[in-house]
Amino acid sequence: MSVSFTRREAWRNRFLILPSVLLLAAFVVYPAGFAVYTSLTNEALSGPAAMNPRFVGFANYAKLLTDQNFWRSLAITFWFVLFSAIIGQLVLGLLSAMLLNRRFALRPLVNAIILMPNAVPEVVAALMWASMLAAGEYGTLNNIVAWFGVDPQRWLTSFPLTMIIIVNIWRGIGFAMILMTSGLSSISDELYEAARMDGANTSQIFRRITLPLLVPTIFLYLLVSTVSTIAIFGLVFALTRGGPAGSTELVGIYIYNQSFNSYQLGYGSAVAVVVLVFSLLVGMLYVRALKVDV
Amino acid sequence: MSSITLTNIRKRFGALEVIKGVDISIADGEFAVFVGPSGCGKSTLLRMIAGLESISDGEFRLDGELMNDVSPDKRGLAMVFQSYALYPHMTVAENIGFSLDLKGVDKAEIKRRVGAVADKLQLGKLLDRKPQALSGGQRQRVAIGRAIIKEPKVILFDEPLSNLDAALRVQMRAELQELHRTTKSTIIYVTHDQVEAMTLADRIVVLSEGQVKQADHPIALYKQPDNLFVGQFIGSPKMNVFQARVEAVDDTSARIVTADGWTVALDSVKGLSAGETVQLGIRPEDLSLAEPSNADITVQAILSERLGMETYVSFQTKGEPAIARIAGDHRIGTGEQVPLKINRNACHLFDSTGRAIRRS
Repeated sequence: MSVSFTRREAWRNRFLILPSVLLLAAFVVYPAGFAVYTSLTNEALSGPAAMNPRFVGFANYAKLLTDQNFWRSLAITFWFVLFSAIIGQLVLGLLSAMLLNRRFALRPLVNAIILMPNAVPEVVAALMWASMLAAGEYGTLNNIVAWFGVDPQRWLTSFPLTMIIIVNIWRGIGFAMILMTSGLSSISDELYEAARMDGANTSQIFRRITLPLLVPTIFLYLLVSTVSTIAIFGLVFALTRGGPAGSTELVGIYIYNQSFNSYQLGYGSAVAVVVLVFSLLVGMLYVRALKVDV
Repeated sequence: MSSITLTNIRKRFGALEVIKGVDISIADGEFAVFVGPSGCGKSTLLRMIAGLESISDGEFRLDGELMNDVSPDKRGLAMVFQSYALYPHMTVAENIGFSLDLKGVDKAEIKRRVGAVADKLQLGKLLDRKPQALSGGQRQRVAIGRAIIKEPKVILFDEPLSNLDAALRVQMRAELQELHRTTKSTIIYVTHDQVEAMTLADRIVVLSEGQVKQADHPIALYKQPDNLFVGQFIGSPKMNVFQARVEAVDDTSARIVTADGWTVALDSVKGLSAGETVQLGIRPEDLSLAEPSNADITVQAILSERLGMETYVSFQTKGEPAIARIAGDHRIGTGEQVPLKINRNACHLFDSTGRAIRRS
């Protein structure tokens, strides 16, 4: 190939990625950079700092270290991610993928039931669950448990974290199932037949063939779902606003509350930057752990 | 001892019957090959023997024992798959030893037996590799190793050489024969390649549309096909068939005239009557180049293919073009007149339904 052809090709390729580069720069890189800058100031939405924001160095980060509410929200986020994304969605997504790999009469219906939550806008989903979990005898769930003789519960007050974990599992199974289905379909039927001929029973086939061959898919799923669940906001905010008493204040909600309820934009930005670094670390860990092709 | 008897075996997928009452018996230590065109049911039949497909009707007995509802791993069979089906996340050693590991055989014993099998198949140096780091032939050997470590009564092969290149196929064919000689196990082998079938089999079962067309020793199939289908399926290039009429008969011979007006007098033919319609089968190798003076027929060449040691001459007939396989290298141009001699003793006769008319 001639030098001029190669050079022309290189220019054409740069031209092709230009729109993406511009959009990413405008809506991701610039805001992120601005957040880093803001986190180093005492920018606020009211008070003297709003008039004259000052550069404060790492003061916001120093304050973070001793902020009990920040550590509490990190802990809540950890449990939320662990139980809803890593355990709940993954296990149920894998189970439903395996179930739907078989043929049975109600398959399209089950498929729709699992995928629908993913298609509903998150605020709509949250409002549905607000009605479902409403306290008092008119709440849908209270009506259901009443058949079993259980007294009406204040679900979102008594078990707030458990409830948002359940809601998030419900919403995320579909995505996990789609990924797991694609992982399962890449395992050839002949492998299962060979394993049967070798004398493996159903559970041995699952443990020794299916699961090891799904590991790359599972890691890919964990990468995507961990990072997106750390950043979750709308679903939980619409349902609980982080309450009661901060018990569902995920780190995303904490950032919002600090920035727009306490008006401390600089401090909120510092939390956001820490979470960004944290997500990057988790992502790198997964990618390293299994050299997943992302 | 491990003999196999299939009695009136049928397989239905819904309303569609794909195996239509098959009877086959395979003796202990026999190398049986199921052969037939795509879709004839040979793989389905093999999978029914393996236990991977259920048997809709009929009986499958192994050493006299009814196997219809026995699970695949309890039948004492091993199978080598077309794609080899090696477990991609396991090493060669783990692949070969997987069945023993599942049975709970202890690690040292597994290692010893895997080592022995690997030596036999020249896989000793590859035991720690994963399947993707192996060549096609090596993968094939691992798949065979995985089968023979179980010391099965019968080894089933499902088109095992179809993913290999031509040179490797010839080599693996030799290795399979060697394997059969040393293990003395009963083998059932499925292929659509009649050369593989001819070279490997003690007995070939020719299948078409879910039915057995003929089952016999390869040379018997070649020399005495029961029907036109077998006659044309076995042998390459395939047998030429000419529509013909019986012109005259006496006690032991008949004079046949083909649609092209060629007259062929055949000995040792019985049971024909004059005027009857027959099909005359002549293998390409039974047509040879002759001097114009003593030629049986003279044909017009369409195409000649020179292979060096022999020449394939295609020629025009009233029916489909026919082919002659002539020894030696000949330069024959398109349109040229070619005098041919017919080996009358090797001609085959079939009635109008395609059933062979035996010559004594």
